Amino acid sequence: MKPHTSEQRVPHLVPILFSSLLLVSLSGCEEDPETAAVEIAGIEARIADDIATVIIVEWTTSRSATGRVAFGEGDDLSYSTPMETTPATSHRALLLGMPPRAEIRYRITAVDGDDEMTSAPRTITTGGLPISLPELTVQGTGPEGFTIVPVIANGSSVVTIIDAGGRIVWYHVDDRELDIYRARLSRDKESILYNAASISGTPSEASELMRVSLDGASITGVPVPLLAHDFVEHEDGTIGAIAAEYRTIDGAELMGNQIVEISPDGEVAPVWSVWDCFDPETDVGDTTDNGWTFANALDYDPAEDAYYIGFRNLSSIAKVDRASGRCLWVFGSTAETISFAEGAPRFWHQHQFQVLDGGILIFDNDGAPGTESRVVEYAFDFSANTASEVWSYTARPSLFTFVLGEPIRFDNGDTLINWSASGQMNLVTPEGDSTFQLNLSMGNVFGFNTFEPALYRHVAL
Amino acid sequence: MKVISIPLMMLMLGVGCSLTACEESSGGSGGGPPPGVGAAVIYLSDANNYTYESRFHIPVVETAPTSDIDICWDDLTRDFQCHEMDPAADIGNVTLVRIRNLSEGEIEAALSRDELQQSNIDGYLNRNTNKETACVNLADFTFLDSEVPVEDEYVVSEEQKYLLVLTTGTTIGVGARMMTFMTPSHASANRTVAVGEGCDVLDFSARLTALTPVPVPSSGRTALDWSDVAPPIVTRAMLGFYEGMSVRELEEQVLDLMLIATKKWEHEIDSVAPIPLTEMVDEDGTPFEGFSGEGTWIFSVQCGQCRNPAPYLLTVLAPEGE
Repeated sequence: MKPHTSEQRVPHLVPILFSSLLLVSLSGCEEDPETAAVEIAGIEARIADDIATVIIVEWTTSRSATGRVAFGEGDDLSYSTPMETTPATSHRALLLGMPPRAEIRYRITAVDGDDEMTSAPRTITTGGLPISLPELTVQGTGPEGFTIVPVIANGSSVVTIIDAGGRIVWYHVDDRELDIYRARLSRDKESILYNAASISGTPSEASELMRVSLDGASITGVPVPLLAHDFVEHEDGTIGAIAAEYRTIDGAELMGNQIVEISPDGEVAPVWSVWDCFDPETDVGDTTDNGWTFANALDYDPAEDAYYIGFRNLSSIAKVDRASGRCLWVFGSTAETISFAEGAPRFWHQHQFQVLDGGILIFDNDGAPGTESRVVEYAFDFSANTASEVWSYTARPSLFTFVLGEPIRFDNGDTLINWSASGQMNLVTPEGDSTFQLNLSMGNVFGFNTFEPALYRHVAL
Repeated sequence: MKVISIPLMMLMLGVGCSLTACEESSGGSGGGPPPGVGAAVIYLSDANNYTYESRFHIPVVETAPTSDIDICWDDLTRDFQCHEMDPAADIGNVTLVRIRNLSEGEIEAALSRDELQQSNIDGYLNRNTNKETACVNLADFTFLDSEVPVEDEYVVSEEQKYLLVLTTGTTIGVGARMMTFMTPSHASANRTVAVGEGCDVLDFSARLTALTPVPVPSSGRTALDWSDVAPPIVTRAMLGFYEGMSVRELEEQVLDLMLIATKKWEHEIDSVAPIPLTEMVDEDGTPFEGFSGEGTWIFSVQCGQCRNPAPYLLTVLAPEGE
């Protein structure tokens, strides 16, 4: 296909041109919509009502066509919405990932078979962020893509998407009396999912799993009582989440945890209990702060159909077969089937982790000497059922993250470390050099974070 | 220290467009003036802003470590801005913030610049007083509603400093009225912290006479765009009239401008849009109707979330004909 603009429109299929001219002359200057080249008209761009960094572009085409919008800051047009899959005459696209108060250039391309039309570039300026959003201090450049992370403050939480420049490019404020610990881009990339919950003191009966459309116009929730820190989304849209679970043991109420699954139609069902693999009589952990196990992190491996769930009070992480509920292994300091190799440091009161090929990366809140948090990478030796230290990182100056915290390892070996309660993120090379740092002003902390290379399902450039 | 350095973000993003989008290309929708702005917008710049210097001198109280401590503020009748206050009724929250890797002097300097970051904090304990008491026990402080053993958290440490912050509201560290360093020491048997009045805690001096006053139409039909001068964290604007007072006289009382205004109009800021003066209202809810009278007019924007009470923007308005 040869692109052309509406200002210099040169239909490239000469036979079609001739036949079109012939038809025009024969029919008294009435253009046949079936054969005339596709026209782009009625272009309108506006800022989404609820998110000043999201641009909604609408246009029509003279006949059914697919289309996309190329866009970017200043003169850049290297971003693109996905090519529409269903031909239509009315079109709508969201321009995502743009910073506040920036001039955005955009250009529409319409495609009908071999005929392609591109509009002249236009510009629109994004709005400013709401006053209530946190201030970010940025050093360096972050990983190319988008970090999705809640920022928790006293009295309100806000889900943010932050770009490589450390700029907030999307946000949703939730000011209910609950906190947000995890936010994810939904698998269909149409919405942001987040949990509104309470992990301190008594878990909330009013906790919910929320879904916000990327234009901010649709906000829905599924009540899931007693939600804890974390959740995952399965390929079919089912959500697996950690929740508190109470059982009466010898006349006393004991709080453990379970994994519940929420089907796409909102049905909530428990699928696994900590009592399936652990015994409060023998697997007591080192503290009873906030109940027995205090599960605080959840991951899922679709290849093995297995959950990985971490328990703060047990300082252990378990691999759970989703189908059978059987614990395949436990690594840590309580009920462990994989123990620390000689000389390997213990992690203590850990939060999020990333299971790697043959190992695991763990955010270790309390394991380091003194009041320091760190990230430790272990390699598993499944023949000896031991784990050895491969790599570790402590912030400089050191930080103590008393709750939350998450590491993400990238393919190039860099690690994005979220020191949640310390309000800091670092991108760290394998050599231990920080190339990017993000800081929150006092009174704000990061929740868990996810990373997305792109906000669209696919980029059709 | 100058207050009017423009945040880098503001320079990078430029100004001129408000929360409402600005559309350049024909055929698009959106754009136009921000809501409520029918008149010309006046863009404020650094030249219009005041400068100030501030420095905290926070008292230090040495106590026994790992112990319950009685903390009382019966004598806190003036806060660190030297404003009168009721010790019980004006304090709703007491927080003990543990700060790492900074000396007391560095903490004071960071507070003066409002640059203390969350990464400087490695824990805090909190006690909500419901504005009903002027005494609390450290053992009753909690972390996110969970009880915390004092013997584990209030310990002697070279790396850590403990800052007691008394605030009016319940947001941690926001709306601070008084601060005191608590220093656990093995050499101390003291189990009492008595927080006294705060008139000597904050040294503050401002210069208003050097700024360029902002010409405004006497009708008041204009909007002031502050976005090039203050960061987007400000929450309140104030227009004050000081009858018979000169700029030089006001310079001496900058922290009291809210208290001594002959008449004042306010506006809650929830976006970076220009502020139409005629949408600012007095305490009765009556909108501002224009400039009249002999005296000085001050326009300021403040940050309700900041630790330093100094306004981000403070300028003098010079009414003139339409």
